[in-house]
Amino acid sequence: MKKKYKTETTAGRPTAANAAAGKPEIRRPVIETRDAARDYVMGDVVVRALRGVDLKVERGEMVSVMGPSGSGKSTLMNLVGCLDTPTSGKVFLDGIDISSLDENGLAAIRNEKIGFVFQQFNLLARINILDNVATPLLYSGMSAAQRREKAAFVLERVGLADRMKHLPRELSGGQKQRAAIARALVNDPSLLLADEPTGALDQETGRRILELFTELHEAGNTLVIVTHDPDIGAFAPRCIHILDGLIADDGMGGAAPAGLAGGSAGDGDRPAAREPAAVATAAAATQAAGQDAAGAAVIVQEAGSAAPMAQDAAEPRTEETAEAAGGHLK
Amino acid sequence: MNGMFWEYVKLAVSNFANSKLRTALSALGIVIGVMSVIAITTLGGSATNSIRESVVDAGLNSITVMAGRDASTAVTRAFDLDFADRIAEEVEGVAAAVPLVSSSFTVSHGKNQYESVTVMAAFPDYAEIYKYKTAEGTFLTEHNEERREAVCVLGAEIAESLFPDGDALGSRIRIFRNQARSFKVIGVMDTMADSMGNSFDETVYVPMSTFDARLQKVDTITRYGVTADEDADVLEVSENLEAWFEGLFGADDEEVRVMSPASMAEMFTGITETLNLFLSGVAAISLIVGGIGIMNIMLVSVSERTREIGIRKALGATPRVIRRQFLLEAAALTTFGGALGVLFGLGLSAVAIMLLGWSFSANLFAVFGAVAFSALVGVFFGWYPAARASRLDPVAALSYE
Repeated sequence: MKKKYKTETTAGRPTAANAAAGKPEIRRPVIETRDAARDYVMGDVVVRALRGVDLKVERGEMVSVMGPSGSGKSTLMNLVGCLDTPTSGKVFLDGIDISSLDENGLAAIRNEKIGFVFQQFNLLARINILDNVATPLLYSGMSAAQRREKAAFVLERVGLADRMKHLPRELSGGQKQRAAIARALVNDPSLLLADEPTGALDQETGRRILELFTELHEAGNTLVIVTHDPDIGAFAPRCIHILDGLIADDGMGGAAPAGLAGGSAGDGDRPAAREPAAVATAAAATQAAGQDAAGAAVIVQEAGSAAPMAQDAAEPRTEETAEAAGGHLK
Repeated sequence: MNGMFWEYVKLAVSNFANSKLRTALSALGIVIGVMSVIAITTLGGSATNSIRESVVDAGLNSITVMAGRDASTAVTRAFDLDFADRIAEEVEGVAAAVPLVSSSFTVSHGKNQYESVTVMAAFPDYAEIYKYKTAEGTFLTEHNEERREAVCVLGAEIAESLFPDGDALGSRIRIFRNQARSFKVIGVMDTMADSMGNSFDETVYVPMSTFDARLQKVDTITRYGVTADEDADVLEVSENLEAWFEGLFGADDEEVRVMSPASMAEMFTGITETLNLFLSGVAAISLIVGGIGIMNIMLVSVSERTREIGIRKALGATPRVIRRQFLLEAAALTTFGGALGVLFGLGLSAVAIMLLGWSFSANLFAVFGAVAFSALVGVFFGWYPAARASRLDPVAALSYE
């Protein structure tokens, strides 16, 4: 398939291809947003779902993005996942400015650089697990034999070698999510983007999925997990809190301010990512105020303004980690 | 095309297999449309072929000339025994011409008696002109003609009826008018298919002079049998005849009618072609209606599968790829309907043709054309639903319940 986007090749910045080939590289973040904002127009009202977010995720990081329903985390996920483009500001994926891409360019980026894992698994119901996992390869133009071979390989890695010919409905929830993770991995993406990956699973199964994520992280994959569950947040070395369209806190090890964590947990039982972010924004503000989190809201604002600084202070990764990222599953 | 095409065909087939009833109902319009096209063209083609075959059987080169119903006295006066020779001499492409004089009589042999049997007054060259072969004995001779002999030759069927034991030759039969006349059988003819109202097998042939003297006065002649030269085009000779008569009796074509199996076949072909054209129009309309049904079902399918489309887009399907998937699905649906219609159409016409006793001849052009056209119908009517699917916003599609 012809590339539908241009890789940024300014002086000193290697292309994704060069990095993968293990050439000496000056590292570039997998995700970089610069003052990214997203507005939705609902009739006469403009809802500002995201109000200028600066975020960097380096290669090999495992990051959780937390926030209550309507905080804007779904919107952020859609931008980072190249499903949507910002109203203003920039979003770079592997150094590629996605704000300027058309639908075909975005589709190609999604296909090549992003592996999605959804709460509801989102497997295609009518085709078997092997074909499900091979679907991204179909869109990247791989031959049928290669597709099958690669999909089978990835399915083996997630422990579903004996379920390849089954239909999704014949699998348990945990198995479905493993299949979905295999599908996300099959194209060797730069970024694994999981949206409430344990939201539809029981606790034990959810824990195993998180362990799989940790394994993938240790193998060098870059992961972003969007969730409202603080337990999941705790799994990630770095936890970003979103509130009211801004980054409220960008800390390591899920160390969210106590007030915020409580506020998120209170919102817990609703599948936040399923709701249109725009409608939810106003609701979230009301909710935050209602759930004796008036203090948290203040913290949020302060933390939000401090976010870029916290991000700048993020510990730079070592070369070894970056190489491990490049080498994984290739 | 890394096998994407087959991947989609596979997908389409599995979709159909998942909703058999709905697939069948939505393809029904196409099935009926194609079925009628195929049945019509097959029946029409077979009818035309059967007519052609019967024409060949009847002898393509024979033409009958008749005085019209409202023929003027100029015609009736001109039509005499010698007029046949004039036709043969003067009209280009005519090999021979004979007057056709016949009447109905009661004919008997012993206890076997039949009423309303055609007795024809024939010159000796009649058999030769019509390539009419004798099975036993001889046809009428010059000798019989000159002497007004009371002899006759029997067609195959009347011979069988009068002489079930096959002992016709040399026997005598009676032909009744006011009184019975006895005729000696000197020949029995081979069987020969009817042509232009001549039922050869059921006719008794007697010499022209004998007929005139003993049975009925030959004063006016209304019909002549004409044969064309071996290498001549019968239709052209018919036209020559018409032109010649027009020159003789004026422009009114009601005066003399010229008929040949070839011209009748031509007329039948014309009729079936017109019928084909008309019914094909009807069939085309039903295909369009069927296509609208497909468009409807595809729109339903697209909205039902919004989430699937969202997932596929998230996995990297471009709008074009999504559009192609749905176009292919629509085309697969209509092609399947078309193929089914071809089978039903051929089956239906095969039964009809069997009942009518024609010979079956399928029109391959129509068969492949119909299938190809149904694929086109799918692409045409699937375009809008497919375009709609391709334009879906991935975020909205993914959150669609």
